[in-house]
Amino acid sequence: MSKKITIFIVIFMAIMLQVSFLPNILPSGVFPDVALIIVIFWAARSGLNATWPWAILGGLMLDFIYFWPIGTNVFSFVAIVFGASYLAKRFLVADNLSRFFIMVALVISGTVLNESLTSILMKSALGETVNFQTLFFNTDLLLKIIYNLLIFMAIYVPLLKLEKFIAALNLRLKMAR
Amino acid sequence: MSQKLFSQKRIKFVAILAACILLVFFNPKGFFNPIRGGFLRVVYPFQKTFYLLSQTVKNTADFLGSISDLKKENENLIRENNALSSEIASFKDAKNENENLREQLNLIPRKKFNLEASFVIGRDPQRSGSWITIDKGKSAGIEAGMPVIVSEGILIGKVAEAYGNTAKVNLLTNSSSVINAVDLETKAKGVVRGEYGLGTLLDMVAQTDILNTGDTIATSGLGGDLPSGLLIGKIQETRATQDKLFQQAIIMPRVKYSNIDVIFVIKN
Repeated sequence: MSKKITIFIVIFMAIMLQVSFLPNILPSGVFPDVALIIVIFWAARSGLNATWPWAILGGLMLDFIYFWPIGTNVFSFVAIVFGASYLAKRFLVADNLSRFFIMVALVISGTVLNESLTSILMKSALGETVNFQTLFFNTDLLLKIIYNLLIFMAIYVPLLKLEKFIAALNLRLKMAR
Repeated sequence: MSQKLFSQKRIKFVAILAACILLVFFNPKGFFNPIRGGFLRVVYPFQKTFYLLSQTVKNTADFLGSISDLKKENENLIRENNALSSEIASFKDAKNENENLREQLNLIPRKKFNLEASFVIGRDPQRSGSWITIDKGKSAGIEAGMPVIVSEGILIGKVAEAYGNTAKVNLLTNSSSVINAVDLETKAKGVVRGEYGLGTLLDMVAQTDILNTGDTIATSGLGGDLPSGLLIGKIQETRATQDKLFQQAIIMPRVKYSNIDVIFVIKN
């Protein structure tokens, strides 16, 4: 239970950071996807089964707070979690540096996929035409990737520590039983 | 083979995605609004706290960046203060003249507005930035459709959805935004439409009307949903529609929407 509460708090705080803190700090109008990065991290490390409920919850909270059609972010997050866990299973290696770089690749592809999926779903739902040229070839996407990578690098170590903390918490609970 | 293809994991994955697609495309309008309203009520204190924190960080960064300029700025301010004291006298005259002109142009005097000041606590995550979230809602008397301005009577949008303590404001650049407008210099009338977050366009202006680059565009008050005389922007470029029936003009907004921190909702 306390593990679930910890993960919920982390995702909730990430969403608040993404929605109400970073947009006021960054003047460019492009903001990083903190919640997405956390979900990708957990999907790559803990697998699909452990992550998909959190992907749904995170996506749902973002849909509510962004006033987007319900399901837009959920769809994107679940698809990315599936992809990240699938790829991580096949490519994750033992040494920490290679693991870090594979995570970086997952964050980049996750950012592109999230941007594309949410834009396509939003525009289709609103009956607008999707321009694939501007979707993939624009400076905003590049800036978003850079921001996401910076955020990922900043939170990678704290997330590893949190993972250890949760594991220790689980162990303590098991021993108490 | 079929066992691998229809594994429980894959079935679950496809079912979730299918449910999302159904929700996105077949969700009845406003069906989730009560849940969204409840959720926004719960997250409101957190959103506000994070917003205030971001303001503190921003102000501290700005302050640290400007320390070296403080002495110079102080000298400039003293000089400016002296100049401003003499200007106040001339502004008193201008104020009277302005009030007379507003009356002649049939504009609502600003002091007649019942304004509700509010902070921006959330923004559209897409660069197009077609909406903002503000920290006042139904509890402060804010309702959908109310016009939203910034300090100098510059219209930036309308309240789209109001919840307990928060409200969503659709900016003029939002594709659903349509506002009756007038060219203050030539009196040409038209509608200002949002261009999918990319800008605003004055449309449906008769070919017989005159539009000049640099003209000021304001609300016309037609339709009665918005007061007249709220500034929208200046004409940047004019052109004819494809069918040559009407004229269009690209409007340059008076404010940069991504920099707005404080707004005012006109309640009456």
